[in-house]
Order: sequence, then C-alpha cells, then structure tokens
Amino acid sequence: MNTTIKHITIMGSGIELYMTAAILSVALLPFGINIKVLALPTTDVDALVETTGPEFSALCNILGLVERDVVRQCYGTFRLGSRYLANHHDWFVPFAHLGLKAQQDDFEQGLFQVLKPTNINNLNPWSPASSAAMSGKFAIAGKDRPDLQQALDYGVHLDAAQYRQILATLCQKQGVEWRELTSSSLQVDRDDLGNIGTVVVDGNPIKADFWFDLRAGRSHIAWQDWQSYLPVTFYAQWQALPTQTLSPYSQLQQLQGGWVKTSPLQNGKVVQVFSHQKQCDLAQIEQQLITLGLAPQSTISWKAVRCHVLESPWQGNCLSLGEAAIDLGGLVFSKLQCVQTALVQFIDLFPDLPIGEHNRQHYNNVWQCFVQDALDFSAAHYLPQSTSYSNCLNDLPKSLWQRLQLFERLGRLTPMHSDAVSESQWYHLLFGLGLRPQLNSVVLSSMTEQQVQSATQQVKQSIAALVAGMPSHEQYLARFYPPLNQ
Amino acid sequence: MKEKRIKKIIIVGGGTAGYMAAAALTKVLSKQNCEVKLIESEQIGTVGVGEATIPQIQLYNKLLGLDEDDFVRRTKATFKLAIQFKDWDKIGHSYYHAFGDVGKDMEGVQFYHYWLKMRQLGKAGDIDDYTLTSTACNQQKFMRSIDAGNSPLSNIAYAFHFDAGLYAIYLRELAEKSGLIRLEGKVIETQLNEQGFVQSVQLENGDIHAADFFIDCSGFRGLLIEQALKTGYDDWTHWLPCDSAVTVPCESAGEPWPFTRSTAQKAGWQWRIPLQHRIGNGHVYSSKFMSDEEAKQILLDNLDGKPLGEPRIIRFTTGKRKKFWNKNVLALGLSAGFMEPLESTSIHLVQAALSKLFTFFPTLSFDQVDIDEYNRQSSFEWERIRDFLIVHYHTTKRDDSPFWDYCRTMDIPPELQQKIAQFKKNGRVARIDSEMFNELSWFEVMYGQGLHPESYHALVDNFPEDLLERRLESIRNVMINSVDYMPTHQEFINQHCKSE
Repeated sequence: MNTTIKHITIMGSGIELYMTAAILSVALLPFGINIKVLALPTTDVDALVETTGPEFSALCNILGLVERDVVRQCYGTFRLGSRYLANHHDWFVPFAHLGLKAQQDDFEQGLFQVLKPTNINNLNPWSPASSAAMSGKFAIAGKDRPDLQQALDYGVHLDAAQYRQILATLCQKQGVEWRELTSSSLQVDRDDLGNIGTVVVDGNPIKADFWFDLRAGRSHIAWQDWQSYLPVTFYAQWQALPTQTLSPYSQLQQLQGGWVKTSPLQNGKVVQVFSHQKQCDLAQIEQQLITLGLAPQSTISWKAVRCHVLESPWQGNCLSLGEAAIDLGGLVFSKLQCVQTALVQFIDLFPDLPIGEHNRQHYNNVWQCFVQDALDFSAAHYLPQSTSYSNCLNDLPKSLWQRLQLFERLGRLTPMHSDAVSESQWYHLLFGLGLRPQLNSVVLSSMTEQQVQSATQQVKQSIAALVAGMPSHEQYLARFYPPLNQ
Repeated sequence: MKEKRIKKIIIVGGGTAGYMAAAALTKVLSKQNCEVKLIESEQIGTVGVGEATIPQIQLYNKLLGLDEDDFVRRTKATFKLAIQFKDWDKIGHSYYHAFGDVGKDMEGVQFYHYWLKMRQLGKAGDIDDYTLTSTACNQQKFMRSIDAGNSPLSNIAYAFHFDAGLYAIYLRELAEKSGLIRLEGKVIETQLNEQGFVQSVQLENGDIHAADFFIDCSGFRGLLIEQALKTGYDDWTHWLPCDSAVTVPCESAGEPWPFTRSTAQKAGWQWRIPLQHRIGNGHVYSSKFMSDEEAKQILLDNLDGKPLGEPRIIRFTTGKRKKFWNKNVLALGLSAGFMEPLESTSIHLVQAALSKLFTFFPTLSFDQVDIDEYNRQSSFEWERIRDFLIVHYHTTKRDDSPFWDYCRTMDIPPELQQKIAQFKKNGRVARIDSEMFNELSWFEVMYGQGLHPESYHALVDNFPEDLLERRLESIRNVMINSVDYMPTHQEFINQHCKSE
C-alpha cells in the first residue's frame, strides 16, 4: 500500500535554504505536507547579489510574489544578458533570440555567412536584447506583444540579503516550521542505501519521510571533480559604490587568471571575482582589479573554491541540493539557479512512499542532462584562446567538444538536453569567443550573397528602430521600479 | 570554399523517399549551384501502397510551401486524428493513440495522472472522453484548428492518409518545376573511386552518371549503401518479429474514417488506411508463425470493401543500416532501414533525415565529424521509435497464438524495460532526451495496452476529490460541445479538398 509523503525536513543554511523551503512550502503545503527546516549556522559568506535568468518571472508566479515588489524591495535592476569583455573584444550574450522572430529558418546561419568576411566580432545589432542592452535601454513588453516579450527576455539582479528576507517572510507566512540550530554538526543516521532514519538535534531524534540536504562540505561523498574543466580556485565579492549608469546587464571581464563580474543594483554594484590562480598568485589578480578601478576599499577576502558535482544527488529518501550537489563556480550559474532547477524537477517527480528506485533513477538522469548542459556552457568560459578547437578533445568535456566542432564547421548547435542554456546564448558565446563557422547554410544557397546581406540588413535596421524608441534602463527603473527602501 | 561545394547529387530510386528528397533538395538548393538528378526505373516497382503520417509532416509541407488543400486533393488524401489499436491488448478491446492534448493539465501536473486516480475510483469515463481527437474519431468528425481562445478547437493536431503513388507524382511535379532532372533507367553497376567513395552509377543502356553525393532511395536492397559500400545492417527481428506484409487496396466502405486502424491478428496485425477513393489495407506478419497463404486469406477476410487487385507480398527485415550515411552515400527510406508502419513513422523518418541532411550538408571533403554526428542523431531517433513499436507487442496479454506468446515473453531493450517499470509503478514516462514520441503518446499506448499503473503523481491525492470530479465532468462536456461543433470528416473534405 503506497502512502503519501507527509513530513519533509530540510537541512542547510543560506539563501538556498530559504528558497528550498519557500518553493516546497508553496508547492506542497496546500496538499497537507508538513515542511520543517533545520537551519544551521552559516559557515559560508552569503552572496551579495543574486543574478537570475528569465526563469525569475515564472518563479515569482510559482511563489505568489509580485515581481515588481520583489525587484523594488531588492534594489533590483534588469538584465537582458551578460556583456563580455574578453578575448580582446566587447560582446554580448542575451537570453533572447537573434533576429526579430524566435523561429526563423537559418537566420543565424545567414548572419554568420554575412559576417564571415568582416571584422565584426559581435552579433549585437542583430539581437534586439543585445542592441537594447548595449544602448542602456530597457522595457518590458506588454502582454499584447508576445513577440517582443520573447525578443527582450530578461532576468534581474537582486540584493541577496533583501531577497532572502522576502523568502524568509514567505516561509513564515506559509507556516514552515523553522528551527535555528546553534551547531553546524548534525548526527545523521543513514543506511547503506542512503536513507536517513533520524537526525539527532540536541539529543532529540527528528524523523521525516523525506529529507533535503543542503549542507556543504560533506567529506564522505564521492564527487565528480570538475577542476580540469572549471578551474576556479578562489572567489571573492564586495559591494562597490553605484556606477554612474545602471546597465541592464551583468558584465563579465576576463582577467589574466580569472574573471571579474559586476552586477548593478540600485543601491550600489557588486563585484565578484573568480580566480583560477594559485593562492600565491592572487596578488596579480588584485593588481589587475586596481588597474580596472574595481578593487575594494579593504583587503580582499578570498574563499577557496573547487567545482564539483554529485552524480546521483537523490539517494534513498534524501535529495542533496545546492552546494551539496553541485558547484559550478558561480560565474554563469548561481547556486540558487541550480537549487531552483533541482526543485522543479523534484516536484514534477514527487514520490509516494515507499520511494521507488525508478523515481530516483529518473530524477538523477534528468539532473545529469541539466548538469551536462550547464557544465558545457560554464566550461566554454575557460577555453584556451584558439580559433579552432578541433584538436582539444582531451582538454574538454566530449559534449562541449562536439558542440564546438559543429559550430566551427556549420554554425549549428548540437541538441540541448535541458533548458539550462538557450540556443541564442550559445550562438553569442561561441561567436564572441572568436569561432567562425566555415560553411554556409545549404538552406540559404538559393539566395545570392546580396539577398542574404540585404535580409540581415533589414533586420538590423528594424531592430535599431525598435531600440531607438525604448526608454533607458534608468528611466524605466525610476518610473516603474524605484526602490521601496529609499 | 566554393570549389569544395557539392555540385551534383544523384538520387537513386523514385518512390516516396526519392521524391521527398528530390522535392526538398530542389526547393532548397539553387539549381545554378547544384544539379539534382533522380534515376528511377519503371521496371522496379515501389513499395508504397497508401501512407499514413503523423502531424510532423506539416513541417515538411511547409518547407515545400504546399497548399494543403491542393495536396489533399491531388493525393486523394484524408485527414488523420489518431490510430486505433484493436485487439492488441486482448481480443475485443481497442484504444486510440490520438494526436494532440489529453484533458487539461492542472497545478503543473499532467491531466492523465488525475484521470488515473479517478479511473481507479470508478469516477472517470474512458480517457477518450477527455480527448478531443478521440471523441472526434468516434463521431467521424474533423476540422482544422480555429481561433477559439482556450477551446481545444484552437489546437487540433492532425496528419494525413494519402496515396503514396500519387504523392510521389505530386512531389515529382514540384521537383521538376524546381529543376530536378529525372532519368528513366535501371542502375546495373556502381563505380567506386580509390577511397571507396561512389563515383558514378551505370545504367542498363550503358550511360554513366557521376555525382559528388548520392542519396540511396533504392529500397530494401540498398543498391549503393549496401551492395556497393557494404555498410552492414542491425537486425532487430528478435524484437520486432514480423518480416512480411501482404497488401491490397479495396473499395471504400462508407465515409472515410479520420483515423488509421491497426487490428492485431494471430501472427501480426492489419492496417486500414482510408483514402478518398479507396481503402489501403495490409497485413504485417511473421513468416515464422504464419504462411503467406494464411496471411493473404486473413487479409481478404477482413476487408471492408471489394478488393481492387491481387494481394502483393513484401518481405523485409526490421532494423537499420549500421550507418545511415557512409562516405558520400546517404540512405533514405527503405534503404536506411525498415520499421513496420505500426505508428506511421516511415515518412517522418525520411523527413527527419532530410532535415538533418540540411543541417550537416557536406562539402567535397565529407568531414567525418559531421557524418558521425548525423549517424549518432539518426540512430538515437530510430532506436527510440523502435522501442515505442516494441511496447505494442511486448505488453500484450494475448496468449492465443505462439506469435503472441513469443512477443509477450521476449527480452526487450533495457531502456524500454526501465520505461515500462516506471510507468507500472507510478504512471510516469521516463522520456529520453528529445525522443520523438512524447509522454502522452507513451501513456496512451501503454495504458491502452493494459499497463495500468499502481499509482499516479503523488500530488494528485491531495487535490480535493469532489473538485476533481467536477473538473473532469467539465472537461468531458467541453469535449462533447467542441466535437458537436465540428463537421463530419466527409463534409470537411467535400467543402475544402475533395479530389476529382
């Protein structure tokens, strides 16, 4: 006889814990499932900024939050994608598609064909989102223009402390049973199959039907180490004074030995540094930051990082989440994004008791699909500089190598396994990295060079006209999204 | 780069696959840049007897810019909303594998999970009652989608049944208008170059035709891909044991149904494909378990109208080429492999292969990395469709013949084992990547085959039962009202696309 899960307990800390409790409570409390949280003392430094992708709007809907209120309370700004200053170029990777429509036969390939003989190293004029972002423009399209909504798909930058507060309030409102612990060590009674029987807290055993484990740094777990593909070794972050202009994007700037990412908020900007230097060479990074005018007032506090993933995060009656399941370094995917993805997958597979192996296997398989896409995209940021990657098979994940090969030759992408990354993001990233497809699309072969050129030129002009009519990001924020806490 | 461009393509064979390739290639390629030639022999018949399709064919039609009404008229086609499987689970039982949505998803959980619960409680009707296309099939109704807001009439998924011979002629006209060079002749020899690439083909009249790239549509024998290049074949007969088919058209019997019917027989199954002017019929069987004569007799005994001609026997080996693309030869249609038309996937596989060909279109250097990726993606697609076909046989409860005993007890691929096990446990479908058949298709067939899950999505139990009952009733009423609004299939054809 199968029964429904009635008691869920979440162990962990940080904003990921709040998000887990919030999502689970909204999804499961209406069904009479009890959610309990064992909040461990935070051993890690919480992120200062949360950068989201286009999933943010849907997440607000799920959580019953008013998107506008969240953005305002969190000193939020919008992001149409990321601006890259790398490989000696300045280019943009938007969330939204290239061209005016989402589905256009071989528009991308036509564009690559037109750009092949030129020195143009970005696709910005042919992407509404990139064009708008690079002009400092932003607007959310009305519901009567789903085409523009797609073309200007956006995420947000949020003040992480404020965001956490919103999630905490939501959990409280939902009636999540919250227990703050003073010690970070828990006595977890786990059998060989990974089932958690009890967790002892202050001498008292706690039982649950299902567990979520967000505790980082558990040494007994066999990780897949990704150091060779994602060589981040040290991370640091700090808040800087607001910039003159609020850009509708995050900026990723390549350093010698790392990346620096800046994310604008309405109350200042957050600088995050991802180094792949040894500890003794961190001074070189710091020197570069001084040169760029991005160094903090005080000493940089570096945190050691090692990128990893857990192959099967669902074992027995416990799902590992957050840093307990994956660390992608944080340059492209935040920890919170990985948690959200995992929770959506889990709720879709919500199990009965006893939990069948099939649920676990299915979840872990779907998780691996996300992991593969996310790893490929993240690892592409650490490629050796090259105009061809055909001889790099041994240095790259095979699926990434295949992706690079296919793009280099035909300007196309291998099929995605998940929705972790959009096709458009891949096109822009690979083009920005300097890859140029060798072959023209056969689908366009019935058009002359002039016809292809003229078609792309028309799209460019239409996009320019569209962007010209948009307000600046700052105007838009001031008018519709002023901070609530001013 | 220009000197590396493929300038000459030869398609060997002129059946459905050959002309689908010719029409697509001549549409896409500029004839100034690339010459497309098709060689076919009237001495060699084609296998096509009446083709049923799946909704994806609309993408191919769109590529060619077809006027759908004209296409339906010219190929004496009818519309298709589903496949009805009769006697597959057990004799006397039937179900639809219907196109399009089933019910309406609620709270992020697919409708069929709610239905599974209410069905277990005896509080839900048949799944067809909640499926627009199944309800329409039962009443022989059809229409295309209209702009009707949230109504299911806004999203009607459909495909076609058409006369394969007329389809080939239709596509031939389109291709010839776009520059196809068609040659009549029988290929008797193939010349290879030093690297083992096909250089040219020689016709019976002595003419030699050279090309850069060859598309083998020569049918089962695989004139180029197998006879010349010895590519090899993966035999799947142990999973799909039918190896023969006997076919015969018959006169129409009343108005055409908007669905294909597949009726399980003693050692195989029989198809019924309604066209505007006749019905296409075939009996697919295993020669290990049934003689040709018996198969022929079963077919003739189960026709709905007078047979139009002598039954014709076709032999096949279910499986696929080890490589669909080898050197400078791409195999298409029956040259690529064969899977029985149980789920009407033959045309789709040709179309999908053409789409991939355009993605990986070669240059004269024939880069192996592109060819490998094409073959990898194609193999994945074929194997997942294969699994979907196997599930029809393996999950039967029939024990009235040695054939069904074999199917019921045979080993099946591990991916399919896992899929069935999970579905049995909790009604979920563990779909692999972007395999062609979606969760609803798997649900409809597995449930229809009598695999009734022990459980369903766990959150369903927490949905108030009385509310659920009212929702289901409301959905059923919406389906009834929507189908009431639809014209009959025959009326729709008469109004829009009746053939001469």
